[in-house]
Amino acid sequence: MTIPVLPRVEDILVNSATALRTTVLPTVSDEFAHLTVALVAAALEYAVELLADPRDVAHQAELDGALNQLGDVPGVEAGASCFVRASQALVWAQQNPGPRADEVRAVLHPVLIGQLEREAAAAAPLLSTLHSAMHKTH
Amino acid sequence: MSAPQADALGPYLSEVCGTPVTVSTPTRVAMGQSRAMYIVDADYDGGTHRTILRVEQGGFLGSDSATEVPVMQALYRAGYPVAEVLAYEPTGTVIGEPFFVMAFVAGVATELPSTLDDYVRLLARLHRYDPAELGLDFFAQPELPTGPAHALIDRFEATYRSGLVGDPSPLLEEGIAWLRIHAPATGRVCVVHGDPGPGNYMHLDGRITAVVDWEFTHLGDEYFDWAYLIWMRGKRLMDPDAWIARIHDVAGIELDWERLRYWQAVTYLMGACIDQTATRFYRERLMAAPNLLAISTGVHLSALRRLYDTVLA
Repeated sequence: MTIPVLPRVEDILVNSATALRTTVLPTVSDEFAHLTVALVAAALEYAVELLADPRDVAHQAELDGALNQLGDVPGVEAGASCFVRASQALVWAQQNPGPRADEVRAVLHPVLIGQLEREAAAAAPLLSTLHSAMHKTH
Repeated sequence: MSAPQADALGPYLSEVCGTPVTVSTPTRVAMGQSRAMYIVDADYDGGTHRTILRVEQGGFLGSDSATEVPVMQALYRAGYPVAEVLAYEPTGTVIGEPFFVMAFVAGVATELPSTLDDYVRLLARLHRYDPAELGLDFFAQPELPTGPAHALIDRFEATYRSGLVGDPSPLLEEGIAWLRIHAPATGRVCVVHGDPGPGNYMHLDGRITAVVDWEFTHLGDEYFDWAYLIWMRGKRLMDPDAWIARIHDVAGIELDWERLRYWQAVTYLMGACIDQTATRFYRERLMAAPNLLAISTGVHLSALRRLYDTVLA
């Protein structure tokens, strides 16, 4: 081992994003290249945030818990992934209106919307970078 | 576009035009997500002709040029403001992807309120065309009364499934089910632009010079276009009530609010489904463009949230 302490992935990503924003972006006059560099910087920052908070496992556990709380729902394939089972339960609920369908939605919707909102918040900088470029369309 | 790909353009255009053509180095332009767009200056017949190269990207966003080109050609023949298609290469053998070349149309695609009335009139005019008279009978004709809604849901669902890399999206699956169950009746099948509104037409000195982006054009219900204009491309310019009043005043079209709400949800379904293709393209490294990450996360989730709020909440 010639480098006792290897560089941390987070530092590489954060510093690369900073260099792109402060050094490269101000010099790029080509519109498409400018958008690409801005998006790469935002992607690096998104990656940093994802490394710090890998949410997918927590989301699956949360959804699994909600499905367990619901118990058996017709048409739901036992043993399938939680996202498959949640999909099947919600589609069944649309096709079979009634109190049980309402219960399925009442349990699953808050979980899924909560996860959607967390992911949307994490992706907001990417989205705003893309939108700012699109609204300058010429 | 790589240099060898660019080098292949001149010989290809020479063959198509039947005269020697030399081309400039293609310059990528930032507008558009589904296609790579380049400005190319072509020298032939003693003059320089500015053209636009519109290149497919492996079916990204679930569209191709196979219908876009004949639609543009038909509308150009009918005198509708679209760019003239000069050449269409559908095989992908020349530069690695299918592409077409169209005449450059002067103008910008920025939002300009003073052009909105003319645009509304143009969209209404599009809907009045008889598809058969335009020569668009190669499109599948959806069966009335609910075929237009079902056909579009089927199309977007297929695009969504093609973009999945693993588990499905429960809310999107539920949204598809809701829209199938509640499909409304369509009274008349017409030519639907599929992505209409500010940003998808060019204007110069206050005059509309070309309507662009015909890759989602299909035969269906005009309400899709009106909903798309109101809630997608036009939402920053006016609120829905103001749009509905404006469309009535300008084009004499009385829009039914309840029916519009359904088609509003279909526009969100479209967004969520076509954006799903970015997930697979990014995950499988089919395209390295960083906009794919934004589309597969933030853009996709934004459309999904609005679909949920519109019909599932």
